Amino acid sequence: MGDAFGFSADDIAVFLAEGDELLGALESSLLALEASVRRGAPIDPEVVAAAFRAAHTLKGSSAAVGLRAVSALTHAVENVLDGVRRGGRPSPAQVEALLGAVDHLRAWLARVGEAVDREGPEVLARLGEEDDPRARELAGVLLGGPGSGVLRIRIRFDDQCLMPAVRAYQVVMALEDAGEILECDPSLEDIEAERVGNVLSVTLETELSRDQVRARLAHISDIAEVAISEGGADGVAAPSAVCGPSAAGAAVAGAGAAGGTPGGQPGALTGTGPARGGAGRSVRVDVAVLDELMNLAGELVIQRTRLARLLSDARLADDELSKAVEDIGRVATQLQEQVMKARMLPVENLFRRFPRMVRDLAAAAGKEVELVIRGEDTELDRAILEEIGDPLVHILRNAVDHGLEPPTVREAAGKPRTGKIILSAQHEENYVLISVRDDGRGIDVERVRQKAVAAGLVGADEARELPPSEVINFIFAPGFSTAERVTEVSGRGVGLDVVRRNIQRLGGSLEVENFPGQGVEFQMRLPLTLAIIRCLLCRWGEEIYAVPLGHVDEVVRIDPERLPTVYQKKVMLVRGNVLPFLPLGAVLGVEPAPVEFALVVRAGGQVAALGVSGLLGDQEVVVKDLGAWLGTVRGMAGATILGDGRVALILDVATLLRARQRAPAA
Amino acid sequence: MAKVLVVDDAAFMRMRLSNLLKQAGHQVVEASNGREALGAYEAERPDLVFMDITMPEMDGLEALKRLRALDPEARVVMCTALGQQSMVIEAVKAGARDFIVKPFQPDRVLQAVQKWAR
Repeated sequence: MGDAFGFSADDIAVFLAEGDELLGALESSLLALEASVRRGAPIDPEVVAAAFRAAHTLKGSSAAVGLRAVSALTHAVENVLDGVRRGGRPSPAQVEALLGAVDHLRAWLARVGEAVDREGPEVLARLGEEDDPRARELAGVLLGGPGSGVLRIRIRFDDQCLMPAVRAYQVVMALEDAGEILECDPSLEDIEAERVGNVLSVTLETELSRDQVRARLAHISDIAEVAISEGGADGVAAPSAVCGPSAAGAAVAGAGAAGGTPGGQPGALTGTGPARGGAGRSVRVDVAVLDELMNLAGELVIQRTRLARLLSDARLADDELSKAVEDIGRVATQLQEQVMKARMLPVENLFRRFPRMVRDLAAAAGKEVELVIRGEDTELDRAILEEIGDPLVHILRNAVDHGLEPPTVREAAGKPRTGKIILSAQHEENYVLISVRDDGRGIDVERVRQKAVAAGLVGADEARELPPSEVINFIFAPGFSTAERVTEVSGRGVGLDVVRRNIQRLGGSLEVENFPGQGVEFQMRLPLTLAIIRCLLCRWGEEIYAVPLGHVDEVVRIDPERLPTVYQKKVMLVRGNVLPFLPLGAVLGVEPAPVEFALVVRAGGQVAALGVSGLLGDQEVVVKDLGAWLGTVRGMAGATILGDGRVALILDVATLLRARQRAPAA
Repeated sequence: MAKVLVVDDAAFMRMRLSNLLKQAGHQVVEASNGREALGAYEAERPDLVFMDITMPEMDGLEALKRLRALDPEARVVMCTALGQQSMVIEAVKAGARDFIVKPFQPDRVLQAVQKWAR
């Protein structure tokens, strides 16, 4: 069932998803374009072509669904890009307007999405006819060709200014140099006749950006305030920040904040992405469908194992039968691998929102920041990708807001004015390592030490003894923040502990390395997939438990009677380290059982020796939710069905070790 | 440290401005009217000129115009009293960079040197 234009809700969904991708591609290209314009460097024709294509496609599809304002604005964008394609150079005012247009278009698509969800595709007819002054304003700046940014400039002179007419005259002289004055109030006649108050308003047509105009007025004394906004005589303008840093920061504050939390919409990461295998050779798949496929593939693997076990138990020596089962097994495994592959997305999907976000954050914080991204085609399971968005945003915000120093401080310290943040992703064995490295001031170890004592996290004497590597781990303690001012950008230090815990919940880890005076590096390690993990199966009494292999350092055969004790607690000496000895039964609170092995486990920065009754080897297990009946059981990361049909609980090592830490007497 | 030419027919005002500038470490040359100012400018090529508006023989405005004809890059800051706004506008039209109002505030004077001296 479609609406008057014949579009169904599904069609709209495709339009919106594609529109989102197009805007993303457009934005990346525009950021590159902006950098070239800013540095006065030559413009890469590939970048312009990519931007043009994106705008062109969006213009067409939005016109097709009847969204006139969107199409018109995109047409203006396409126009500018066409001019650049032919050798022109966009003015700074136009570049600003281009990025503003991307934000505005994104907001439009979001609105359309919501409206269609609420009221169905018919709502498009109404939306399509809507008037949009902001879009018109942006299009105005864009369409006039190079040199037609119209700015409204309002200047207020100091109350103590003794000769405002002279100052007004100086302003007019300076602005006449900067473009064409369309309107001037008070008029030049009035100024020369000294009929002025202490406010002067000028409408100026200029190629220059707002900042450049401001710079042209900087030499005139007695000016209290300069307010510049885009817009023509009809006064539909978005007021910019008054005398602030790059106005772009303020203007995109709303969109910037939204852009900084990726994956917010359901199915935001739909599709396997057009980047793979060339354009036109991919399809869109709903995430829910992929999840179900994954589940089914997993079940198939489990049943195959079961079949093999049944076969061997029944001692059927039939060659044909064995081979058939073996073949099924092979196919099942391959199927599973392919489905896993389908779930993988390059981290680029997540990372591409960051350059814009960092740019806006830096502008708001008055800092100069360059974000370098490496390894963006490293792939991660999409479920994990969705979860690490917020943590990465938090870490990046921290880096811009607190880690990197203001340009003047950096210069004084002999560093380049522009701070650098390197965001990289790479495969490391069976993990993906995502690292955020900044070249800022690093963590002030002594300040953290003091803060930790002041917050009651550690005694003063003990704190003094701790080495720097341990002290910096306090930044992960709840409620900890050494920010002098809680800025709107970084929040209230509620971040890092929650961030780390969320990553651990995924089976990953978050560590920090400090280079005092040189910066900080956050290292996030993530498993390749959430759905299937390699585990070590072990026994406590008759029960089987699965311990994720990523957390196991080594396995040792032991005799618990012979273990040394420290303060009446049993410990184990492993490679020169003293580790607490924890029988699994004690940790879980179940019946005691004999212990014959110890697993050296590591999670969340803690290491311990976990005592178990027996070992059953390692295997890949399909992680299953514990389901609604059992809910979230503390210390359990889920469960799995073994080849013989038995259920084994998968241990959440990090939580268990932490709980143990808090109640050592148990 | 800049070389500043102070032009004013009133000896007392010249002295005040001179002392202020010298104390701040600048070098000062004086002239008591527009004609002298032109000569002094040519001879000394100062980094900045403080030019009073009302002077006998050749007033500040006339001197400014001639000075700019002599050296289009000349940096001139007008010294004016209240009530001479229209003349200052004329001066700005003719190329004066800025103005200070009598009685002088020392920080304004020094700021002007910072801003405008070559």
